[in-house]
Amino acid sequence: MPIILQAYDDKEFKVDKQTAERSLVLKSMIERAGDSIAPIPLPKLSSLVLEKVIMFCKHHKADQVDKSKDYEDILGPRKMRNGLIRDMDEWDKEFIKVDKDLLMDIVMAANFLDIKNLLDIGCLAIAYMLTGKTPEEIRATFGIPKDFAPGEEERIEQEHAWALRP
Amino acid sequence: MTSTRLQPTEILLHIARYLAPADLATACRVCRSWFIPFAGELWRSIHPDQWTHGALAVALPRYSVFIQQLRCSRFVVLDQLGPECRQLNLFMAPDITLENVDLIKAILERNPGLEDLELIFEMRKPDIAKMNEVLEIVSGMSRLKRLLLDGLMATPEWIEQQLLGRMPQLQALVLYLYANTADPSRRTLEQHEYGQQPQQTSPKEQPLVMSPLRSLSIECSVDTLSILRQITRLTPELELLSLAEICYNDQPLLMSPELAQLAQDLPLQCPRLDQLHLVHNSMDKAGLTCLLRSGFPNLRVFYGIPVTPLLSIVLDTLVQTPAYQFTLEEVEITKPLLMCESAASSSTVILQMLRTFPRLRKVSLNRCVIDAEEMVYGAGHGHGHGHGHGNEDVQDDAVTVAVAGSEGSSNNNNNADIQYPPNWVCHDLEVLEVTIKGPTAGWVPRGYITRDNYKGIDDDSDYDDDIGNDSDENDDDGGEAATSCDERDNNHNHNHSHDMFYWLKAQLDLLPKLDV
Repeated sequence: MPIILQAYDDKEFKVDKQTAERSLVLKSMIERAGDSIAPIPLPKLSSLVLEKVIMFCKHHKADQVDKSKDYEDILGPRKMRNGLIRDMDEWDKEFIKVDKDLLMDIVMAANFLDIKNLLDIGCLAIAYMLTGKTPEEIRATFGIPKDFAPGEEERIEQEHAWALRP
Repeated sequence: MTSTRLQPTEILLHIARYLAPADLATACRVCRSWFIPFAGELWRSIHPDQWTHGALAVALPRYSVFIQQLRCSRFVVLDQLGPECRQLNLFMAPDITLENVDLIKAILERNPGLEDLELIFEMRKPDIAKMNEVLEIVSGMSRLKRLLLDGLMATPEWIEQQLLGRMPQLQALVLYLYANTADPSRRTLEQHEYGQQPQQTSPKEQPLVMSPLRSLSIECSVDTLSILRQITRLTPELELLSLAEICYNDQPLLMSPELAQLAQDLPLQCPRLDQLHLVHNSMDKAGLTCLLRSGFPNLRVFYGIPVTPLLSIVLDTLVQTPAYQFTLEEVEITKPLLMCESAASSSTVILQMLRTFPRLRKVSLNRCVIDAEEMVYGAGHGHGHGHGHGNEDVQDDAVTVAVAGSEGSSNNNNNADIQYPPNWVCHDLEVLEVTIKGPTAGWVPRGYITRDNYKGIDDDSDYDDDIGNDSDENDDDGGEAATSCDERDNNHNHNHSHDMFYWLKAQLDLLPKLDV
């Protein structure tokens, strides 16, 4: 029985159960509703974002092993970084090559729907965008206003001078 | 378009986990809502290689609430560690003065929930009373999972009752023990061992508290055997035993009735024990054989830096213990560079291991040599070292197998047929680090592999990391494997057929590679 998902512009998407269940939020809704599930409204998601999310879930619906276990506990932070970058397969790399606004929407959707793998690769893609940039460049890229009190940013900068690349 | 785009904050925390320290330091300067997630991640785990100058020490008080794992080399201002701190490794503590001892005590008392603790006492003139005050606090930390105490002076009873007895979660214990000769009022290990003082309460009369300890590492300046005997009675879950000796205090681990007794008791008291790390300078062949065969009937992992028992003796003992054929998975032996034992004779025994030990996953013998001719022509060729383990019937066939166990979803090697060098039975081999030596100086085509460009590949630190990952964590990387072969080239003779080299290279290329 297909599941019907409604984006905020009322566009409907039919997906199979296995695809929808990549989202732990949808999975628990489906389990609670049983066979008589009504269309699920997702007013926070535009049809563009929902389409991408469904595309991801469809591609990964047959994944056996859920890699959502916490790598950090096993490998430590540094190794986890290397490990996940290597684990990202070609399809995922292509999938996540989108403009930054869509990327942020996808990440928020993945967080909202609880799709761990999508959240992982989305956050990794954002992390790539932050790498090597100055705070000013990051603010420009993401449209973030500077809201520190005068001198506060300079203080934080001094306090973290030890961590900067030589 | 505001900073609320990436909300809730969990998303920022998630992104922070993928950033290097330098980028975390930048990201926390972007705006107020980014400060805590990124600064928190940066300060969560402080490693000694991260701090370059005093700036860290200056900033530490303001950020210490974020710290969960602190590995630092000097006491700085640490008295504001937050409740999240679970790991505290204090390297190179300066000689304990009154001020320092109070600071350590304050830090430890404020963090009773520590799970991982390293304390290294570096004291020229040990002040036992002060050390005991610190140790008393440590022994009350019931949540400790891993504990390292270096420069410790304590009796086996103290270890048994105060450490093992009071730490129900302790899984890994590393002890560097020194004899306490400074304070005659305190009974020393030597006195205990040689029974100069009759014990008032025999340990056997007290109820034994079993410890869930899984890993025990001991470096000892006094009688290792009696301490081991004492501890292993209480550790039925023990899996790894690491023995080292303090180099300036010669305590050879020679064959003795005590060693025989210990080795005999080990499999009964610690049935899961299957990993031995041996960093021992002076051991005799009989002692080694006894420890291995009686104490480790299910040896799975052997790591060693042997000097006195020559490399070849260690290898021979491993290969000639029939039970290990079906248990041994990892062998790593490194040798200090100064000790030049000729490892040329190791070829036969290494090849025999590769031919007869089906479960091997890692063979790292960086000072050993495989003879290429012997590898090509099989066991019958060359050195007539008698070995017949019933595998001669498959000698001439190349073994073809499918790679099994492809749990990893990003695995490219699924169902690929992998052809192994003839007669190798170790189809799970992931790491092979052995020099391969040809029959003549010019067996490698000139310019094909020079030592230099080979080194360039091999020195990549990521590469080492990944080998580590693969061997520790088999559920992730499934069928991937690494092969590292050091191929020696002397570049002299060139009118020589290179058939053997190309054949070998083809064979080694067939082994699965890590896709780094």
